[in-house]
Amino acid sequence: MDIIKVKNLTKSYAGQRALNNLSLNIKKGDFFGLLGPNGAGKTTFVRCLLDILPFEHGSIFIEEVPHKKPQSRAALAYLPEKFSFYPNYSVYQTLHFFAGTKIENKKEIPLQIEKSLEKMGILDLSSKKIKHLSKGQLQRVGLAQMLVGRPHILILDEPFSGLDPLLIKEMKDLLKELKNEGKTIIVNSHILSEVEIICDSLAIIDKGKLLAHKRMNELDISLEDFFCQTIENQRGTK
Amino acid sequence: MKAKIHFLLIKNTLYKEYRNKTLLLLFLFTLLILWLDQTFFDFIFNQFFKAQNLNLIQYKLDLFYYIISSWNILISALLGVSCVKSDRDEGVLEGLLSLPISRLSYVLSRIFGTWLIVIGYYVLSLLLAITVFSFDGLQGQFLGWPILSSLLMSSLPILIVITLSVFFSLHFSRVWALITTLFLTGIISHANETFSGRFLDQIAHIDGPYKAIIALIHSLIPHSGTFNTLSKELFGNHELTKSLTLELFHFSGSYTLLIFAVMITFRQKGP
Repeated sequence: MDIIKVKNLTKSYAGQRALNNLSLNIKKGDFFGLLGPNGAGKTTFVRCLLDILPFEHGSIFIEEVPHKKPQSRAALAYLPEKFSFYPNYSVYQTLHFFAGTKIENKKEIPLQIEKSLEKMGILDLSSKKIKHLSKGQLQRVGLAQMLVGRPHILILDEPFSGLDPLLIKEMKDLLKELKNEGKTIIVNSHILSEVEIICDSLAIIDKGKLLAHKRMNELDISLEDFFCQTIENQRGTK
Repeated sequence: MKAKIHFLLIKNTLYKEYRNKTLLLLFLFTLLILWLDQTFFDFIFNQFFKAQNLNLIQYKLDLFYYIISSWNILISALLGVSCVKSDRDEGVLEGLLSLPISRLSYVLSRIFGTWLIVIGYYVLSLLLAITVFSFDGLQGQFLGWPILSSLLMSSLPILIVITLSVFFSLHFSRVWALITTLFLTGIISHANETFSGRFLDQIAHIDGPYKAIIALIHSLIPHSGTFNTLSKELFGNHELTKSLTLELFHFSGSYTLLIFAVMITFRQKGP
């Protein structure tokens, strides 16, 4: 079953096409990798998906709900490339804010916050202010805020970018765990080695165009080779 | 759930600003002005006008009203400029917009939260004034209907200025947005003063580009100047010189138009 359906998505910035008639579907429970070189349109795609950016043509449905409706984001959690929150908020207050928007039962909020803080290994940072956190700690808070409210669609924009190897490993382990829980995970990345092992399906885009959309088991060469071939073929034909 | 998210965003707007140093500084300045208003007038009165039969209390009240209303406009513009822009500058906006809340709800929650802060500041200034003017035995004048109705009326220009500053903050830097908002607020007051009470057919026969622009501003933008005048009249317990029903009717239409313009810009600009 397709949980996300994108049809003929077209978005331009000042006359320049950032997404060009892009259509793709993402299956429920899949770990989906959206791959492409820098400036390919990956972040624009995610922002359109979340209705953060408007687009000219096309349609997006999340669990059969048009993306423009707020309820399409009710079961969804998002981690931007650089997670940030108000500097004067503590880690706990930050998570409490996000939890408040997703969890109806008030009593459940502290329990879920504690659980996700524990999972990310930042329980001791709970009273620390956002402005006093390192980049790695901030990214962990970003991941923790994703986990509250038990969303079943997770979208991560360049989650491995700028992280130390230890945190990359932790992030991959966490994503595997979430995948095993049956969550649909969408990862935007240009770091192929990090997504190769965990992806179920992938799409390659360049200059806003969808160049390939495959399941991992359909690939008979390494992801890196497939990626390079696809991009080179596209650029060579121009 | 939707109402809960609104409440959370409004609470978040209040929490964001509670340590705002500019606000604290302006509050201290208000204290100083009130104290000066109290002592300076007494001094001038005792030195020069004791023999004349002047209404010193009325002068004090007028000055107090002028200071507080000007301050409120300045604070509304200052806070309005940063209420949405700070989310964008701090990289928070993207995360907030990924939540199950409509863009209109987000913008309105921010505007309403900022409006509550300015109203809170206004009430605090009034409480301070009650304390300061109590030495003149004036507290009775502050606790009655005139001041409450004036406060209600003042809340409209505050809302208008906040919304205008949100609109300009989506286009310009904070400083330019502040300057533009204050400049336009001045122009609106001038336009309201010039065309207040005139009907559309009279406004349509205006000659000269300057007057035409002023007439256009008067027709399309909510009448913050007129509401300020009405508020002053209520404060002084005078008879209203403008039709409140007509003004509220114009406000509902023109404010919807303003919010529409804000939303179009907000959606176009992105995070």
